[in-house]
Amino acid sequence: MTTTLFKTQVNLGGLMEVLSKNLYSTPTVAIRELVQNAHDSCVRRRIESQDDFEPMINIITDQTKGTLVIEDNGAGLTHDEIINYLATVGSGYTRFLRDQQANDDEMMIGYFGLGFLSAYVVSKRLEVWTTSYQEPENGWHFTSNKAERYSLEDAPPQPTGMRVVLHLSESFLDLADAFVIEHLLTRYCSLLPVPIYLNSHWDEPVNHQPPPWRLDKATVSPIILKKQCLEFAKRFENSFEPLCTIPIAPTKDSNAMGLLWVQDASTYGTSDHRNITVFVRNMLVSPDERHLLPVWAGFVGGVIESDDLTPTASREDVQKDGTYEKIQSQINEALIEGLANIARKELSTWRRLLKRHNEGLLGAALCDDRLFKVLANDLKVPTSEGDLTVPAIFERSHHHKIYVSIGEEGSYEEVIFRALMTPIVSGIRYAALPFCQRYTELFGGKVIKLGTQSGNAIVFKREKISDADQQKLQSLLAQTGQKVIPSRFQPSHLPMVLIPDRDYQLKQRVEADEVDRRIGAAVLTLARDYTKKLQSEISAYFYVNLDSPLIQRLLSATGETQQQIANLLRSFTLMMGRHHDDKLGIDLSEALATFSETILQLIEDKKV
Amino acid sequence: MDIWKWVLETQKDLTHQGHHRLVHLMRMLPHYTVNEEHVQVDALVPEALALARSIKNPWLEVFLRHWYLQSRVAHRHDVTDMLPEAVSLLEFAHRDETRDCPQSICAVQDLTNCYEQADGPAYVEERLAVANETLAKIDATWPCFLCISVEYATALVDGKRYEEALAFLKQQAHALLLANQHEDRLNMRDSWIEALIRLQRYEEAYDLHKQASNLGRSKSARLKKAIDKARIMAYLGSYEEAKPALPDFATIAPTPRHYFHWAEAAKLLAEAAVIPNDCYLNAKFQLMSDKFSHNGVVRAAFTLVLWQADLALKRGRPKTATRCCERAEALIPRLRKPLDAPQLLAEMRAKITTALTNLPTITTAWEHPHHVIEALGDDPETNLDILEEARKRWPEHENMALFTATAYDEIGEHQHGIELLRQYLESYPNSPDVVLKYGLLLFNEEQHEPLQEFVFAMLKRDLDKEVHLNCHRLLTTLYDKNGDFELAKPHLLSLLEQEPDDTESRTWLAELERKTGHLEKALQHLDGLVEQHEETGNYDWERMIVATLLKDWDKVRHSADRLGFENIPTEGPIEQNRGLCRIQFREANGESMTYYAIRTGPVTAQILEMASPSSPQHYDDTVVFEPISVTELDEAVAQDDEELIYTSIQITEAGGYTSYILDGVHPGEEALQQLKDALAIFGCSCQVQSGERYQLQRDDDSEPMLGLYAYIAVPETQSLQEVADLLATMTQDYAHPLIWQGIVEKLGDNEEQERQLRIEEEYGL
Repeated sequence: MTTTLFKTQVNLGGLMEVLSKNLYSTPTVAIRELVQNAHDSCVRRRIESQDDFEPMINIITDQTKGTLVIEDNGAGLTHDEIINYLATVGSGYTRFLRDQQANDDEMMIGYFGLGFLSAYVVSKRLEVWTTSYQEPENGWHFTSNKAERYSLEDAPPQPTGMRVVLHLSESFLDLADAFVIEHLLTRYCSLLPVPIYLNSHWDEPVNHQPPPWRLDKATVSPIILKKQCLEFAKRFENSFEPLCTIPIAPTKDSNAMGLLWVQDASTYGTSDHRNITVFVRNMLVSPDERHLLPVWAGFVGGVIESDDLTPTASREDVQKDGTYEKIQSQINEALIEGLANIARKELSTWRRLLKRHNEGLLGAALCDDRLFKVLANDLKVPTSEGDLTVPAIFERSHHHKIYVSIGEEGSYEEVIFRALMTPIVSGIRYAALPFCQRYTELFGGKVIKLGTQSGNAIVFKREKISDADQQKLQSLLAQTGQKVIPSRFQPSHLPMVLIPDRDYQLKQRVEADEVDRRIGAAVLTLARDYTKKLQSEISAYFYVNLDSPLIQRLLSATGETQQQIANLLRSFTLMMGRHHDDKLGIDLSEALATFSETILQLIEDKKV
Repeated sequence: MDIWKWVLETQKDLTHQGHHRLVHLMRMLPHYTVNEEHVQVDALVPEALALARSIKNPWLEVFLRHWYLQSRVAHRHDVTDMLPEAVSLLEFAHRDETRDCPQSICAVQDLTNCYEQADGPAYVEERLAVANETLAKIDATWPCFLCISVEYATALVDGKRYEEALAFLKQQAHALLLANQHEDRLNMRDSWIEALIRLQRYEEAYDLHKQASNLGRSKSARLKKAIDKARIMAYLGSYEEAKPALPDFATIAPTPRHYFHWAEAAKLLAEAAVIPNDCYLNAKFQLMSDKFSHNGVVRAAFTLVLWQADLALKRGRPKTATRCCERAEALIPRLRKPLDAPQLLAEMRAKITTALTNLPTITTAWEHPHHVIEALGDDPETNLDILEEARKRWPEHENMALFTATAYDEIGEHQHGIELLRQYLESYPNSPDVVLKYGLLLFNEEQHEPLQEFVFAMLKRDLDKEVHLNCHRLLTTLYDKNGDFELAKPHLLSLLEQEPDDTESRTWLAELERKTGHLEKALQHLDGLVEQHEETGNYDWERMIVATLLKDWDKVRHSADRLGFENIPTEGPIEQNRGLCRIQFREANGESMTYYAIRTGPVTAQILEMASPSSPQHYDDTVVFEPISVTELDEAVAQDDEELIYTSIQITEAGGYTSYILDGVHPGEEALQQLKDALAIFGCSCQVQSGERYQLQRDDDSEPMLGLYAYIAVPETQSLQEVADLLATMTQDYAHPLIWQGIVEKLGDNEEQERQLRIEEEYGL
């Protein structure tokens, strides 16, 4: 037996360790790399030799010894190949072979030497026994404690193939646990065509279940397929149960295939639980390529495979190139079409999906009109009368109107509509207002934003009255800078409302002298450049309800009675409006005082 | 103070206080903004603001409002709508409670940004003053040092003080070096590259572009870099590299921030004949300048329009260029100061004048307008030249006007098309087709008020009947869209007065009458339509619905017969078994539920399937349904071997049942049948919901047993106590008990309730 001591072909001490530790984000990638090497060996043997053999990979865990063994019956390595490929970082026969091959069925995955490097990350010692198909009479035993030095000795010939033994380092003893390895293999290797057996007493390969998109649809019943899709999804979805699945079929622009699923967990609005696992050449490259999914799909997970994607050096990520963008749009289309299909065909699933992801779908619908049309009548928006769909709002508010409050709760307009039992959409809630707006743009109806000028014009319908009456109302109810607007609105027992003018308020605030002390002169000039153009001279508007019996009485009354009604109306309105602002001429304490004095007067009058 | 440090600390505090949602929104707002996901920004901002206000955190409000302005102004260039908000935020961010918030400086920047967008060159001095004022308060260790420096440099570039801008940027880079932040200088790339390009130092610009190529991974940064690469390469004459670098127009169309430089690059490429200089490029320029003009980004709109004119001239379309000049001229008064705009416009006009004199004359030897229409080809701009020439000869020709307006529409000049029709109608108001087209254009542009004004004015004039009819059509369309059905009806009636045989209007009116609950009126119109038409149509279906609702069975029969329904009884109400179907109900909260039913007539069904006790009950309801099935609309689904689904219009007779749950171990088919028969005596029905997979196990380790989960529908008039007693009697000898908790709960029988609860626990029901 001759033993020779060699040095690896990278003559840079320590580089190995640095490289191996930094190249991969998680040490468990080592398992992927070694299984991949084993797979490539099998493929190589099939290409190069005339041997009739059934390729297989065995993984053996031994917790007591702390070892993990990966063995294959592939091509094996000769003495020179060990030196050239196994011990030379970045070089690999696989790469050479892959460049040569044209046959897709015989797909090679890895970069042999680079993949082997990952084994050093998790092991304190590494052993390889191998016999090449080219020299079945020779066997070799390779040992290395650290990546920098290794020993190579001849050994009794073994059956053709390779056996890699990892003596796991302290921190990675978990990798000798069969359950951990099974979990990793079912994710990393589930697309590999070569059967992988875990500890030989397990009778079926861990990758016996092909991905659903590779099943022959003609021979599998739709129910079985549906079940298998859900099981497959469950394997890849970390946090949630899958609720339903959506296939991704190849298109003319992209050959990617795969499966998406909707997560069975409640999301709210912008929750983002997207995840996509990407396989390239049968190997899991990235477990979280979430950006392949549209930004609105926070409740969707998926797996895709595409051999057109280019893995990065660590092969834990893919390059964001033109192919990537094509797949992005392919997934977007598949998802929209898939959701539409569920809406039409799987009614109970659809109902569950809506219940789970209503808010997320509100945002999603806004991003794509086709999706909007599928979801438009089924999604609910929050309203003062509970969560309702738009058709239900239309029905309750009469005449296809959607009233939306956009300010703080308890505004005047809101009080009115609450009294009328008309639902008001809570515009401050996620996506509610844009959803209603888009709905009416596409299907008719009108959104009325309460508290805005245009909204007020619709709610408080202006009406012309005689100049004398206008004058009377103005002098009785308004103070300087305030304006009375005769109008009609529901409910008729609400006599009037007060609405401050926002432009006026802004102008006052920006043009006040004390602001000079707070804001820099240069920028204040710019701000005032705007406010000086504002024509607002009215501080607040009183919308006076001509349908109100009180207002009618006010107009017909005379003398002291008229003044008393006016005083009561004014103070009542100010109190209801809850505004207190000196600059608007609204003094709440004065209003309260007037209110109580007038009531007292009326009681006194009655006594008399 | 470091803004991002403050943001992170705030997020930590808020998380600690349990405001997770607010923290999430705080994170997402900048993320969506820089990734050009502005739909999402609009969706979340109101909620985030309401949450910040509810916990009375004004600093946070400044943060959120600033980022909203970033999205609306810096990215979407929406100056007109957002200037008031920028002014308001500036004031808010400088109150006692907010002035120490590190983000307050950003509010200054937001306002300056508005003016930079509106008319950057005209506000150079003000912008420099504002930037100086801020720079005086901070040093190179502040993150806003970079932003404000860029602002200062951009103002210099806008003032064409390029060398000064470069010198300033170098000085700021030096300050960063001293503050040990030298790498950050690349964050000033935008104004730096701009200054170099304006000085035609393209090689240096490209070097800087490359140096900063790793900077910024957001979608916005990626688009900006791609566009910069395209225009620098184009300036360097490397068109083959420039062309693939330029993003598709569709990619940048939603975000005006990228318009200007995209247009600059596209113009260079079109001039070099690397991309086609055609009417479609014209349409893109038009879209961008219209958007700028609408958003109050006036100077950029002006420049874009002149570029558009220049491109038009270069492809031999001086008339298109002339129209551009008209639009440019209208923009000048909206600029804060004209500066060189009038001169640039005059130069362009001079070029156009020369081009017009050299323009080959168009053959005008047409004998008849239809020769003109025949002469039209595929290129809308060529067509426009022909049509405008022909219109001089036949200005009154209605179709010619319509064709011309359409051609303007095709090259992106929508407003010009609308204006042309408006002018045409001033001279030739008796043109019904133009009235309709003009009205629909206004309708599609959502110009509802001008549309109403126009239509009412036309109705007041003494014009041809056809014109008035189209006016009524337009108003009906408008009111119907807005849901003002009562307002729409009189216009349809006016139409029908003039044209009693107008099928479309009568069908429409019948539909509105039905929607507003006037069934008799609806039926009258539908009767008229059926009488009028020998062939069947939608009106027959509509008539069957309305007549069924009114129980006018002879009319249902009549239309059913016309439509080819077979085996309809010849007299009396129609109550048959026409097979299974499914009926979809929209419940009060808007949710839709579907149940199996027997179709009892052409548009009626009776519900067979019970709903769970938690849903509204429809068992035994009789309904009138919309006879177009939900699934018929979709061929892919129609192939499925499933019963058709129809939407319920109205419940004509309620079944009057309430459902309850019966749960426990399956007593065997025979016993179950006996139980069902006994329940039937009280008018109750029982429907089993469970299958073989419902297996039960007592809490010991016994064998699993088949379970029974069923609904019992009890008539509302039936005594519930009697049903409970019956269930107790019938099930008392079962090997394992059944429970009916809903019934017991409603009866308030506490003792029984406890007994059933124990059974529930024991069997794990």
